[in-house]
Amino acid sequence: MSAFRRSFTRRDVLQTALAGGVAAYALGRFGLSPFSVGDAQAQAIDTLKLFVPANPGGGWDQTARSMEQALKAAGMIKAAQVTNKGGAGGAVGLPEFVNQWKGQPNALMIGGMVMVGALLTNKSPVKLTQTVPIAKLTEEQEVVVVPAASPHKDMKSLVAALKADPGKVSFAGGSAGGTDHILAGLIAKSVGVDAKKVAYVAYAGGGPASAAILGNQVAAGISGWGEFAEQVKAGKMRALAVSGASRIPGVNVPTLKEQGVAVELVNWRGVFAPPGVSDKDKKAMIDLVTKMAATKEWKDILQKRDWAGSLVTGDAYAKYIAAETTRIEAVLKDLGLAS
Amino acid sequence: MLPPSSHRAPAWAETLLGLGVLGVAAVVGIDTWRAPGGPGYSQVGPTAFPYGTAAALAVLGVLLTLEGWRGGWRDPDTEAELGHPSWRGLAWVALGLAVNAALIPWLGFILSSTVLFACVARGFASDRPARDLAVGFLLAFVAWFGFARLLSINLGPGLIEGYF
Amino acid sequence: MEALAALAQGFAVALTPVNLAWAFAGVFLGTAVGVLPGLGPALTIALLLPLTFSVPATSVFILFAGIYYGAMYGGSTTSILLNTPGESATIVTALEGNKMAKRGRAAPALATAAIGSFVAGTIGTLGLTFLAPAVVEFALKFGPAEYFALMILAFVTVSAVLGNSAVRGLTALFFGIWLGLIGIDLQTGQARFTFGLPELTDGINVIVVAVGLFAVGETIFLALHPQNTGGQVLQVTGSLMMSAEDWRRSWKAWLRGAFIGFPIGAMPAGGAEVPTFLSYYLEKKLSKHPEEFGSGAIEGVAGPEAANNASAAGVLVPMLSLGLPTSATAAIMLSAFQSYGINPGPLLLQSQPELVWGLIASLYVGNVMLLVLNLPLVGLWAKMLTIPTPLLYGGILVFATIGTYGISQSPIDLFLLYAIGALGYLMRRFDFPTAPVIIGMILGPLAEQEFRRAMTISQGDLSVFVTHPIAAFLLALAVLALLGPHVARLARRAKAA
Repeated sequence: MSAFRRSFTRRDVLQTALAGGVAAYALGRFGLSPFSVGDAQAQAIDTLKLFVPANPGGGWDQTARSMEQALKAAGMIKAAQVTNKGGAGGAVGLPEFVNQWKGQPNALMIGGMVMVGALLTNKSPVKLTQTVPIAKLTEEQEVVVVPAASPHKDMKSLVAALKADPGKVSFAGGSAGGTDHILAGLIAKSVGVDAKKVAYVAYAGGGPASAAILGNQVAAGISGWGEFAEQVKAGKMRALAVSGASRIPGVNVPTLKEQGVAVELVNWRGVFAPPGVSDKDKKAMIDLVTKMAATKEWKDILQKRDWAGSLVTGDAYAKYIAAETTRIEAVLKDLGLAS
Repeated sequence: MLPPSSHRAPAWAETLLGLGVLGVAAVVGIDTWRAPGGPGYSQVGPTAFPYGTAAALAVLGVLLTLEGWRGGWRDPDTEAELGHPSWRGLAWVALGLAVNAALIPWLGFILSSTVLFACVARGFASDRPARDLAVGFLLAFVAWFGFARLLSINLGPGLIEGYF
Repeated sequence: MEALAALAQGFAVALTPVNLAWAFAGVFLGTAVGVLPGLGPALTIALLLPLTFSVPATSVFILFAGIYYGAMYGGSTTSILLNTPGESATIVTALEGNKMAKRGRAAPALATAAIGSFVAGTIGTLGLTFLAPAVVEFALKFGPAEYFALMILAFVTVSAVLGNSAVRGLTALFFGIWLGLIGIDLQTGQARFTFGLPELTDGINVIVVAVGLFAVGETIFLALHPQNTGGQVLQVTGSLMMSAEDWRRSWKAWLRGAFIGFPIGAMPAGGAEVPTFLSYYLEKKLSKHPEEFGSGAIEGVAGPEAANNASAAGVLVPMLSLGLPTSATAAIMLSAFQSYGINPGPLLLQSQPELVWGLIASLYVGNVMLLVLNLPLVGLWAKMLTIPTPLLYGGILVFATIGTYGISQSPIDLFLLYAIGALGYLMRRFDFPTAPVIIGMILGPLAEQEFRRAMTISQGDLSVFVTHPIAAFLLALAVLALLGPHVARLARRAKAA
């Protein structure tokens, strides 16, 4: 008994190398690990504050942690502090960032295409335009798949079925009003089908949606390429089309446009500075992110995670967001999800 | 279903509770009615189940109100076992909860929890406030340190958290 | 037998000192977060994701698996001792477990939970090792119609916790269903019953409701009616370990729990709570002492605890054999795979055998560790109940606060917790059962979503629930469970007449 009990004291646990590793990591994250002051990295930012309007573990959170990793490894920052505030596709976190982080230099929020839609469907009073767009970092193509046993071999055949009776072609994908649903709406609209008639079956995420497709419960599925890629490679799903401007390098799946469906959509992620930052701070952040995007560490992470780098900064990024917002608002109206 | 005691005087607390359930049913129903209907692709819209729930709660609320009106369902013996309510105890616990919920963003987790702990202990007739404050502080501090520092679970900022 | 050879390889990986140490750190951390209501394995693993930048993959997954299993053990401890469930899958454990603790039988309750978790966890892991392909094939047959039928069957469970009035029990159930509907509707993106509060858009956390109703409600009740504490001084009486009688009543419940939990856990939308409900219902129906249910029946702890641990193993079936994350924890573990450039999918087992089998072997190891870690602690935990009442309840509320505040740092969630606590007091004061609220809250939205998915796919044709054989079978089972006893009684009466 006593031997057991002894093994529970924290000291003993910490003595084992590995739990020590956990603790060291945790301490490091709070900037408690000693670092020499005034070292060679005189220009480095001490602490970069990253605001993630989603819970730990999701795509935005991973983007933030990857940025932290790349920036630290390149010596461009000394530490990063990640704050998570999840909920409603970012609509819960954004007001906090806009109000409570106002004017803070060295602070960035991660966001993306999902947020544009979520703000519209939630009728959020706070808009993305109230932030200062810094840079778009990555994008991911969407893919339209069918179960392996499906009769549809290409997009043309699926579109024909959709035109014949949209109610019969059920699409599984993520939550209503999200990227997957938006793509379904855009496809329907472009082939002359009422977007509201698309039988869209929403799932909480890629896993449950994949299960419905693998189990042949639905006619088709839409999600990010990363969610379905392995199932497609293993022959359990058939990819009919990807949604980008050109094919994904190394993936032999044609785009929607190649198959006569004039739709292009990517799920992009980027960073934003809080409102009220000075032009100097804004420029510093743009420089930081631009430099980071060129580092080997960042490129390695992109490759491992199958993210496509796509750097657009400053005013060009702001224009891009404005155009996306207009387009997404239109399709959400078509779907009956925004007014 | 109705108890044989249907000649008893109305039990006001139970009647009120029944009316409360009816009130909840009304809130559910009205809020659903105000919400926009679902888009066409969803065969069964977002309002179907809420309406069903509102209807069920309304029926149950009527039954409970009637039952309360006819003397209620509480057994007088168990009622007697409850004894005299200790309003003082309730007041201390409620104070602790209110202070905690209202002040935690300013005081921070550690101090706010210490106050909560001491108030609740007081509500349970403890007469050693100094000990309660000390134990509460220790407990809150250990919990905070373990979770906020070692596991980096964000428990928010506070007056003294910054010093550790 | 290929599996055996591969598993042996896996043990060679898992039993290296370094990986054993990682497994220990995992089960230890897992137990710690499992104890806290609201903080679960998903959040913990997510917070530890940056480890993937510096630690080898096998070790990280062994750590994560340990956290995952450990949380299930930890969650039951607080359910039993403090009536404060640490995880949603251990809410049912509180129903009988805490009653046992109040009767001075905390130690046997904790022991049957720990041993049952070990037995079921091991059975589940065996299932994962040898049956994964077959189980996955069966699980994928479940579409929305089948899941809806399963949820309806699970709703029958409510009849086991209705208490002595159907009207009050059903009121609690429908109130719970309403709480479950709060938030954004997944199918249409419409906000329902959020009353303009952004905090409500993602719904109310079921743990907040369970802790509010059970723990906060009880604290308020006892503060207001202090006479009631006197009668139930939480003294540890009798044997610390399980008696022969306890063993006799537990072992079948463990096995049944494991066999309910594992397949439902393996279903992509089965959930960890549904099997605990079904197990509780089944144990009450089969028990020779049904009258003890509601006042501390050991089967009511043994079954659901076994079910939740077996379902935890079940969740890993689609994750490892198909790369499908079917729970929040699994999703985050899969994203950790990607940090290593490993893309989890149907080919994971072929491309990363060492990793997968090392992980599976570490599950066996972690289970043993958890048993060894928990059993000796049983006596110590049970002594916790001898803490003076003022300090005990002060501590319970502080722990309830950490979990709730730690998720969101939002005082609104604390107000919600305390408001639900006040409601829990009213329900207890006026003889409403609280368990149906939880059942309604978990099952209501699941049933609703699956029903609407089924209708969208079938274009509104209700006959899918009859023409799909599995759905029809499950619905028939539900009808039988509800009406069976009444029909039997009628038949007996007819015979007598």
